[in-house]
Amino acid sequence: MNAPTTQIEQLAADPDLQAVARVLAGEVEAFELIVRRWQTPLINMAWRYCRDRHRAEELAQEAFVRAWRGLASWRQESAFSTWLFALAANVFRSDLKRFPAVSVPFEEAAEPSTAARQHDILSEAQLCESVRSAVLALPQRYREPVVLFYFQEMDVDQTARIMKLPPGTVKARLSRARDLLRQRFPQLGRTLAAHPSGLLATQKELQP
Amino acid sequence: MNRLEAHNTEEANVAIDRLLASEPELAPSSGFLAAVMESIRDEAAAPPQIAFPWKRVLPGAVVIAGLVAWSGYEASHWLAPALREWIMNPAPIQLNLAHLTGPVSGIAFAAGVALLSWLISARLIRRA
Repeated sequence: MNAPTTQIEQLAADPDLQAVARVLAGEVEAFELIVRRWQTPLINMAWRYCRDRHRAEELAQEAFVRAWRGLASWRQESAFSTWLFALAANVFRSDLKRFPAVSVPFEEAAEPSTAARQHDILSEAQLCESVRSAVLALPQRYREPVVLFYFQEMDVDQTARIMKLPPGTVKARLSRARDLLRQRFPQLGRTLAAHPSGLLATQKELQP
Repeated sequence: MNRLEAHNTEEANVAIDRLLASEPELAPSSGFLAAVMESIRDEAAAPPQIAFPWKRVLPGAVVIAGLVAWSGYEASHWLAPALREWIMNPAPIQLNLAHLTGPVSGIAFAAGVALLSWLISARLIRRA
Protein backbone atom coordinates (compact mmCIF):
# COMPACT_ATOMS: atom_id res chain seq x y z
CA MET A 1 0.00 0.00 0.00
CA ASN A 2 3.03 2.23 0.50
CA ALA A 3 4.00 2.68 -3.12
CA PRO A 4 0.64 4.03 -4.39
CA THR A 5 0.40 6.35 -1.37
CA THR A 6 3.89 7.70 -2.10
CA GLN A 7 2.99 8.23 -5.75
CA ILE A 8 -0.14 10.16 -4.79
CA GLU A 9 1.84 12.25 -2.30
CA GLN A 10 4.46 12.99 -4.98
CA LEU A 11 1.75 13.96 -7.46
CA ALA A 12 0.16 16.30 -4.95
CA ALA A 13 3.48 17.89 -4.03
CA ASP A 14 4.97 18.41 -7.48
CA PRO A 15 3.08 20.81 -9.77
CA ASP A 16 5.07 19.58 -12.77
CA LEU A 17 4.02 15.99 -12.13
CA GLN A 18 0.40 17.09 -11.83
CA ALA A 19 0.51 19.06 -15.06
CA VAL A 20 2.29 16.30 -16.96
CA ALA A 21 -0.23 13.72 -15.74
CA ARG A 22 -3.09 15.93 -16.90
CA VAL A 23 -1.51 16.54 -20.30
CA LEU A 24 -0.85 12.83 -20.78
CA ALA A 25 -4.49 12.18 -19.88
CA GLY A 26 -5.44 14.32 -22.89
CA GLU A 27 -5.93 17.75 -21.30
CA VAL A 28 -4.03 19.95 -23.76
CA GLU A 29 -4.65 23.18 -21.83
CA ALA A 30 -2.79 21.80 -18.78
CA PHE A 31 0.41 22.32 -20.75
CA GLU A 32 -0.08 26.04 -20.12
CA LEU A 33 0.83 25.43 -16.47
CA ILE A 34 4.18 24.02 -17.60
CA VAL A 35 4.78 26.92 -19.99
CA ARG A 36 3.88 29.50 -17.32
CA ARG A 37 6.23 27.90 -14.82
CA TRP A 38 9.20 27.40 -17.13
CA GLN A 39 8.95 30.18 -19.74
CA THR A 40 11.27 32.61 -17.94
CA PRO A 41 14.01 30.03 -17.23
CA LEU A 42 13.89 28.67 -20.77
CA ILE A 43 14.01 32.10 -22.41
CA ASN A 44 16.91 33.10 -20.16
CA MET A 45 18.72 29.87 -20.91
CA ALA A 46 18.25 30.44 -24.66
CA TRP A 47 19.40 34.04 -24.22
CA ARG A 48 22.66 32.81 -22.73
CA TYR A 49 23.19 30.61 -25.77
CA CYS A 50 22.58 33.32 -28.38
CA ARG A 51 22.29 36.75 -26.65
CA ASP A 52 19.50 37.71 -29.04
CA ARG A 53 16.15 38.28 -27.38
CA HIS A 54 13.96 37.55 -30.40
CA ARG A 55 15.86 34.40 -31.21
CA ALA A 56 15.85 33.34 -27.55
CA GLU A 57 12.04 33.40 -27.54
CA GLU A 58 11.90 31.44 -30.80
CA LEU A 59 14.28 28.85 -29.40
CA ALA A 60 12.35 28.60 -26.13
CA GLN A 61 9.10 28.14 -28.06
CA GLU A 62 10.67 25.37 -30.13
CA ALA A 63 11.88 23.73 -26.91
CA PHE A 64 8.34 23.79 -25.46
CA VAL A 65 6.91 22.23 -28.65
CA ARG A 66 9.55 19.47 -28.50
CA ALA A 67 8.76 18.97 -24.81
CA TRP A 68 5.08 18.59 -25.71
CA ARG A 69 5.90 15.98 -28.34
CA GLY A 70 8.22 14.07 -26.04
CA LEU A 71 6.35 14.44 -22.76
CA ALA A 72 5.49 10.74 -22.63
CA SER A 73 9.21 9.91 -22.82
CA TRP A 74 9.97 11.63 -19.48
CA ARG A 75 10.54 8.62 -17.24
CA GLN A 76 10.57 10.62 -13.99
CA GLU A 77 14.02 9.21 -13.12
CA SER A 78 15.23 12.81 -12.88
CA ALA A 79 13.50 16.07 -12.01
CA PHE A 80 11.22 17.51 -14.67
CA SER A 81 13.46 20.58 -14.83
CA THR A 82 16.53 18.43 -15.59
CA TRP A 83 14.66 16.65 -18.39
CA LEU A 84 13.32 19.94 -19.78
CA PHE A 85 16.69 21.72 -19.63
CA ALA A 86 18.46 18.77 -21.28
CA LEU A 87 15.88 18.76 -24.07
CA ALA A 88 16.14 22.54 -24.44
CA ALA A 89 19.95 22.38 -24.49
CA ASN A 90 19.73 19.90 -27.37
CA VAL A 91 17.34 22.17 -29.27
CA PHE A 92 19.54 25.25 -28.71
CA ARG A 93 22.76 23.40 -29.54
CA SER A 94 21.48 21.95 -32.81
CA ASP A 95 19.87 25.23 -33.87
CA LEU A 96 23.04 27.18 -33.15
CA LYS A 97 25.05 24.63 -35.08
CA ARG A 98 22.92 25.40 -38.14
CA PHE A 99 22.80 29.17 -37.60
CA PRO A 100 25.65 30.23 -35.27
CA ALA A 101 25.07 33.18 -32.96
CA VAL A 102 26.81 36.36 -34.01
CA SER A 103 29.77 36.89 -31.70
CA VAL A 104 33.12 38.61 -31.89
CA PRO A 105 36.14 36.29 -31.94
CA PHE A 106 37.27 35.54 -28.38
CA GLU A 107 40.61 37.31 -28.93
CA GLU A 108 38.80 40.47 -30.00
CA ALA A 109 36.56 40.81 -26.94
CA ALA A 110 37.03 44.35 -25.62
CA GLU A 111 39.62 44.46 -22.83
CA PRO A 112 41.68 47.62 -22.26
CA SER A 113 45.20 46.85 -21.13
CA THR A 114 45.34 48.58 -17.76
CA ALA A 115 43.00 48.91 -14.83
CA ALA A 116 43.09 52.69 -15.10
CA ARG A 117 42.14 52.69 -18.76
CA GLN A 118 39.61 50.05 -18.05
CA HIS A 119 38.00 52.31 -15.49
CA ASP A 120 38.14 55.27 -17.86
CA ILE A 121 36.83 53.62 -20.96
CA LEU A 122 34.45 50.99 -19.86
CA SER A 123 31.90 51.39 -17.17
CA GLU A 124 31.45 48.41 -14.92
CA ALA A 125 28.27 47.48 -16.75
CA GLN A 126 30.10 47.49 -20.06
CA LEU A 127 32.86 45.36 -18.60
CA CYS A 128 30.30 42.84 -17.35
CA GLU A 129 28.67 42.76 -20.77
CA SER A 130 32.07 42.28 -22.44
CA VAL A 131 32.82 39.28 -20.26
CA ARG A 132 29.37 37.79 -20.87
CA SER A 133 29.78 38.29 -24.62
CA ALA A 134 33.22 36.69 -24.42
CA VAL A 135 31.53 33.58 -22.99
CA LEU A 136 29.58 33.34 -26.23
CA ALA A 137 32.86 33.44 -28.13
CA LEU A 138 34.40 30.57 -26.12
CA PRO A 139 34.86 27.27 -27.96
CA GLN A 140 31.64 25.22 -27.81
CA ARG A 141 33.05 22.58 -25.43
CA TYR A 142 33.78 25.27 -22.81
CA ARG A 143 30.87 27.57 -23.55
CA GLU A 144 28.05 25.16 -22.79
CA PRO A 145 29.21 24.13 -19.29
CA VAL A 146 29.61 27.83 -18.43
CA VAL A 147 26.14 28.70 -19.77
CA LEU A 148 24.47 25.88 -17.87
CA PHE A 149 26.48 26.03 -14.64
CA TYR A 150 25.89 29.72 -14.02
CA PHE A 151 22.25 29.43 -15.02
CA GLN A 152 19.48 28.79 -12.45
CA GLU A 153 21.87 28.09 -9.58
CA MET A 154 22.86 24.75 -11.07
CA ASP A 155 25.65 22.72 -9.56
CA VAL A 156 28.26 20.62 -11.34
CA ASP A 157 26.22 17.41 -11.01
CA GLN A 158 23.10 18.97 -12.52
CA THR A 159 25.15 20.49 -15.34
CA ALA A 160 26.75 17.11 -15.96
CA ARG A 161 23.37 15.37 -16.04
CA ILE A 162 22.00 17.86 -18.56
CA MET A 163 25.08 17.60 -20.75
CA LYS A 164 25.23 13.81 -20.30
CA LEU A 165 28.90 14.10 -19.33
CA PRO A 166 30.81 12.88 -16.26
CA PRO A 167 30.98 15.55 -13.50
CA GLY A 168 34.79 15.46 -13.66
CA THR A 169 34.72 16.47 -17.34
CA VAL A 170 32.35 19.34 -16.58
CA LYS A 171 34.59 20.53 -13.73
CA ALA A 172 37.65 20.43 -16.00
CA ARG A 173 35.89 22.33 -18.76
CA LEU A 174 34.59 24.95 -16.33
CA SER A 175 38.07 25.42 -14.95
CA ARG A 176 39.54 25.76 -18.45
CA ALA A 177 36.80 28.23 -19.44
CA ARG A 178 37.60 30.32 -16.37
CA ASP A 179 41.32 30.22 -17.26
CA LEU A 180 40.53 31.47 -20.78
CA LEU A 181 38.34 34.29 -19.46
CA ARG A 182 40.94 35.24 -16.86
CA GLN A 183 43.67 35.39 -19.49
CA ARG A 184 41.46 37.49 -21.75
CA PHE A 185 40.47 39.86 -18.92
CA PRO A 186 43.54 39.98 -16.65
CA GLN A 187 42.35 43.08 -14.76
CA LEU A 188 38.89 41.75 -14.08
CA GLY A 189 39.41 40.66 -10.48
CA ARG A 190 40.97 43.93 -9.36
CA THR A 191 38.50 46.11 -11.27
CA LEU A 192 35.41 44.45 -9.90
CA ALA A 193 36.86 44.13 -6.41
CA ALA A 194 37.55 47.87 -6.45
CA HIS A 195 34.07 48.76 -7.67
CA PRO A 196 31.58 46.37 -6.08
CA SER A 197 28.07 47.24 -7.18
CA GLY A 198 24.55 45.95 -7.49
CA LEU A 199 25.46 44.37 -10.82
CA LEU A 200 27.18 41.63 -8.92
CA ALA A 201 24.73 41.37 -6.10
CA THR A 202 23.95 37.71 -6.62
CA GLN A 203 26.83 35.51 -5.65
CA LYS A 204 27.30 31.89 -6.43
CA GLU A 205 29.64 29.84 -4.32
CA LEU A 206 31.67 27.65 -6.53
CA GLN A 207 35.15 26.36 -6.65
CA PRO A 208 34.97 23.02 -8.43
CA MET B 1 53.05 30.56 -8.92
CA ASN B 2 53.90 33.10 -6.22
CA ARG B 3 51.45 34.26 -3.56
CA LEU B 4 50.55 37.46 -5.40
CA GLU B 5 49.74 35.59 -8.62
CA ALA B 6 47.71 33.03 -6.69
CA HIS B 7 45.82 35.84 -4.99
CA ASN B 8 45.12 37.56 -8.34
CA THR B 9 43.94 34.32 -9.88
CA GLU B 10 41.63 33.67 -6.94
CA GLU B 11 40.31 37.22 -7.10
CA ALA B 12 39.65 36.94 -10.84
CA ASN B 13 37.91 33.57 -10.42
CA VAL B 14 35.63 35.00 -7.76
CA ALA B 15 34.87 37.99 -10.00
CA ILE B 16 34.08 35.73 -12.96
CA ASP B 17 31.83 33.53 -10.82
CA ARG B 18 29.96 36.50 -9.40
CA LEU B 19 29.65 38.22 -12.74
CA LEU B 20 28.35 35.23 -14.67
CA ALA B 21 25.99 34.15 -11.90
CA SER B 22 24.45 37.60 -11.66
CA GLU B 23 23.17 38.03 -15.18
CA PRO B 24 20.01 40.20 -15.32
CA GLU B 25 16.87 38.18 -15.99
CA LEU B 26 14.81 38.61 -19.14
CA ALA B 27 11.04 38.57 -18.81
CA PRO B 28 9.03 36.82 -21.53
CA SER B 29 7.30 39.15 -23.97
CA SER B 30 3.54 39.56 -23.52
CA GLY B 31 2.55 37.30 -26.40
CA PHE B 32 4.99 34.50 -25.66
CA LEU B 33 2.68 32.24 -23.66
CA ALA B 34 -0.15 32.65 -26.19
CA ALA B 35 2.21 31.90 -29.10
CA VAL B 36 3.51 28.74 -27.44
CA MET B 37 0.01 27.51 -26.58
CA GLU B 38 -1.15 28.20 -30.13
CA SER B 39 1.68 25.99 -31.44
CA ILE B 40 0.76 23.32 -28.91
CA ARG B 41 -2.93 23.42 -29.91
CA ASP B 42 -1.90 23.11 -33.58
CA GLU B 43 0.26 20.12 -32.68
CA ALA B 44 -2.58 18.54 -30.71
CA ALA B 45 -5.09 19.13 -33.50
CA ALA B 46 -2.85 17.74 -36.23
CA PRO B 47 -3.71 14.18 -37.28
CA PRO B 48 -1.26 11.56 -36.04
CA GLN B 49 1.57 10.85 -38.43
CA ILE B 50 0.91 7.95 -40.81
CA ALA B 51 3.22 5.08 -40.00
CA PHE B 52 5.39 3.83 -42.84
CA PRO B 53 3.56 0.87 -44.48
CA TRP B 54 6.25 -1.74 -43.87
CA LYS B 55 3.84 -4.67 -44.35
CA ARG B 56 3.05 -3.56 -47.86
CA VAL B 57 6.56 -2.51 -48.78
CA LEU B 58 8.38 -5.54 -47.43
CA PRO B 59 7.31 -8.13 -50.08
CA GLY B 60 8.25 -5.71 -52.87
CA ALA B 61 11.55 -4.91 -51.20
CA VAL B 62 12.35 -8.62 -50.85
CA VAL B 63 11.52 -9.24 -54.53
CA ILE B 64 13.69 -6.29 -55.62
CA ALA B 65 16.59 -7.41 -53.41
CA GLY B 66 16.28 -10.93 -54.84
CA LEU B 67 16.27 -9.59 -58.39
CA VAL B 68 19.31 -7.42 -57.75
CA ALA B 69 21.19 -10.36 -56.21
CA TRP B 70 20.16 -12.64 -59.06
CA SER B 71 21.18 -10.03 -61.66
CA GLY B 72 24.54 -9.64 -59.93
CA TYR B 73 25.07 -13.38 -59.93
CA GLU B 74 24.09 -13.69 -63.58
CA ALA B 75 26.27 -10.76 -64.57
CA SER B 76 29.31 -12.20 -62.80
CA HIS B 77 28.52 -15.68 -64.19
CA TRP B 78 28.37 -14.45 -67.76
CA LEU B 79 30.76 -11.55 -67.79
CA ALA B 80 33.63 -12.70 -65.57
CA PRO B 81 34.90 -15.57 -67.78
CA ALA B 82 34.53 -13.46 -70.90
CA LEU B 83 36.34 -10.56 -69.27
CA ARG B 84 39.11 -12.83 -67.98
CA GLU B 85 39.52 -14.34 -71.44
CA TRP B 86 39.59 -10.92 -73.05
CA ILE B 87 42.24 -9.69 -70.60
CA MET B 88 44.39 -12.75 -71.24
CA ASN B 89 43.92 -12.54 -74.99
CA PRO B 90 42.86 -9.05 -76.03
CA ALA B 91 41.14 -9.31 -79.36
CA PRO B 92 38.49 -7.26 -81.12
CA ILE B 93 35.10 -8.12 -79.61
CA GLN B 94 32.85 -9.93 -82.02
CA LEU B 95 29.16 -9.91 -81.43
CA ASN B 96 27.72 -13.39 -81.51
CA LEU B 97 23.94 -13.20 -81.21
CA ALA B 98 23.62 -16.89 -80.47
CA HIS B 99 25.49 -16.37 -77.14
CA LEU B 100 23.14 -13.58 -76.14
CA THR B 101 19.94 -15.63 -76.17
CA GLY B 102 20.40 -16.65 -72.52
CA PRO B 103 21.04 -13.17 -71.08
CA VAL B 104 18.35 -11.54 -73.22
CA SER B 105 15.69 -13.94 -71.95
CA GLY B 106 16.91 -13.24 -68.37
CA ILE B 107 16.69 -9.50 -68.90
CA ALA B 108 13.23 -9.84 -70.42
CA PHE B 109 12.10 -11.92 -67.43
CA ALA B 110 13.51 -9.34 -64.97
CA ALA B 111 11.82 -6.50 -66.83
CA GLY B 112 8.55 -8.43 -66.75
CA VAL B 113 8.81 -8.96 -62.97
CA ALA B 114 9.68 -5.27 -62.46
CA LEU B 115 6.64 -4.23 -64.53
CA LEU B 116 4.40 -6.61 -62.59
CA SER B 117 5.63 -5.33 -59.19
CA TRP B 118 5.13 -1.74 -60.37
CA LEU B 119 1.55 -2.52 -61.43
CA ILE B 120 0.80 -4.24 -58.08
CA SER B 121 2.27 -1.37 -56.03
CA ALA B 122 0.36 1.23 -58.14
CA ARG B 123 -2.88 -0.67 -57.48
CA LEU B 124 -2.11 -0.88 -53.74
CA ILE B 125 -1.43 2.86 -53.58
CA ARG B 126 -4.73 3.60 -55.38
CA ARG B 127 -6.58 1.37 -52.89
CA ALA B 128 -4.89 3.10 -49.92
